[in-house]
Amino acid sequence: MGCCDEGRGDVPRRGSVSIAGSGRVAGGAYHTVKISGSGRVEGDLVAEELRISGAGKVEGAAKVREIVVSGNGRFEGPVEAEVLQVAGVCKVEAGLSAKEVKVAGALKVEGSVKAHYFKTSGGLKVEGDLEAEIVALAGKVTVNGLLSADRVEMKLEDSSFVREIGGEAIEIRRHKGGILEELGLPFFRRPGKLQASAIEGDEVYLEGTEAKLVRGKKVTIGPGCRIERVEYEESLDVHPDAQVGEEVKG
Amino acid sequence: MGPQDMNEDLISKKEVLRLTGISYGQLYRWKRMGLIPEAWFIRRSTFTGQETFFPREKILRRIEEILKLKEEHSLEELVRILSPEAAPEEVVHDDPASIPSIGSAGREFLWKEGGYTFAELVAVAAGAEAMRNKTKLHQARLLVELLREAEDVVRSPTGIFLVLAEKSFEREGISLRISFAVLGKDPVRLDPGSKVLVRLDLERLVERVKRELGR
Repeated sequence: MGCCDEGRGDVPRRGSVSIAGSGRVAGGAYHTVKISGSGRVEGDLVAEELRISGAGKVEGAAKVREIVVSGNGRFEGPVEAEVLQVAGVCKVEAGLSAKEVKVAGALKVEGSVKAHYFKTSGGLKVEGDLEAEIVALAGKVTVNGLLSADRVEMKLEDSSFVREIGGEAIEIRRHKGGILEELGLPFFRRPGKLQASAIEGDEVYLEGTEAKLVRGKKVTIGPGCRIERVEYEESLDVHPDAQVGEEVKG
Repeated sequence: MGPQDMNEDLISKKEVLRLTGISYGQLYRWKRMGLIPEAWFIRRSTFTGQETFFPREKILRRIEEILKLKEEHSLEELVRILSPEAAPEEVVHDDPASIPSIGSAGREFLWKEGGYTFAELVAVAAGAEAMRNKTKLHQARLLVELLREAEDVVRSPTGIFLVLAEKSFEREGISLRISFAVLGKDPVRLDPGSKVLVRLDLERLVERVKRELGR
C-alpha cells in the first residue's frame, strides 16, 4: 500500500512520497515521488523528481524537474520537465516540453514536443511537431508534423515516416546491420526506410529515403533513395543506387 | 492558422531565402523560437506539391530586423523585443499606463501593482480601446477579463476578433440588458437581436502593443 508523509500543494515544505506495491497519491506539490510497483498520481503533479519503476501514471499535468521511467509511464496531461529519461515505455497524452529527453524503448507523444536535446532509440511516435536543437533518432519513427532542429540525425530501422524535416544539418542513414545480419540471417533483415513529403536543410545527407521534395545547399542523395524533385544551391551528389526524378539548381 | 486575406501579397520560402541570404537552419531556428510566428507560414498547393508562403512585407521586415539586431542581442533577447507574444512570461511590465495603447484610459483596469505579462497588457489595452470608443466601464471590463484568461489566443492572434455586444429583452414591462464579450475567429456571428458595441482586430492590437513596448 502507499505511504505518504505530508505532500499537498499547500504544504510549504514539500514532502516526498513513495509507493511500493500498489497505491495512489493525490496530486499536488512534492519533492520526490517514487513509484515502484504500480501507482498513480491523481491530479496535477509538481515535483523535483518523479521516479517510476514498474508502472506509473499521472492523471493530470506534470511539472517535474527530473522524470525517470524504467518500466511503463503514462502521463494523461502535458509534461514539462528538465530531464525525461525513459528505459521502457512512456506515453504522453498531451504535449511534452523538456530540456533533455533520452529514451531507450518507446515513446509516444500525442501532442507536440519541444526540447533542446532529444534522443530516442527504439520506437518513437509524435502526433504533432517535434522541435529541438539536436535530434538523434534510431529505430522506427513516426512524426506526423514537422521535425525541426539544427541537427537531425536518424538511423533508420524498419519503416519510418516524418511529414516534413527542416533544419541546418540533416543526416539520415540506414542502420548498419547488427550481428544477426552479419551472420547472414535474412529473416532479421529489414532495410530501414523513411518516407517524407519534404526535407529542407543547408546540408542534407540521405539514405533509404523516399520523398517528394528535397531542398538544400549541399545535398547528397545516398543509396536506396527515391526522390521526386531535388532543388539545390551549391552541390548535388546522387549515388548510383538512387533515383531522382528532377534536379533543379538555384 | 487564421484565414488569410487572399489578396495579401505572398512570397515563397525559396524566394525569402534568396532575397535575404539567410539559411534554412536560421529560418527553422527562428521559427522554433517564435521569432517568426507560426501564423505566417502559409501552406499552399503548387505544381510541385505543397509549398510554404509568407506574407511578403511582414516576413521581409522581420528578417531585416532580426539580422540588424542579432549583432548586439542574443536570440532570446530578440524574442522579447520582436515577438513578446511568443514569450509572454518574459515580459514583466510595471507601468502599463506608460504604454500609449493603454494610457490613462487603461488605468481603470489595472488590478495589481506591477508585473504585467504581455497577454495582460494586451487585455488592458483592449479595455482602454473600448473606453476610447465611449463604452461604459463595466462593459469594457468584460473584454479585459475575457482576454486576461486567453494567453494562448494572444500568442497566435491572426484572424481573431474581440467583440463586445449587448442584448435587450423586454417582457411585461421589465426590461433587461445583458452585455457580453466574445473572442472568435472572424467572422464572429451573433444573433440578430444583439448589438455590437466594439469590434477589435486582435492581431492589430497585439502588433500595436508590441511596437509600443519595443520603443
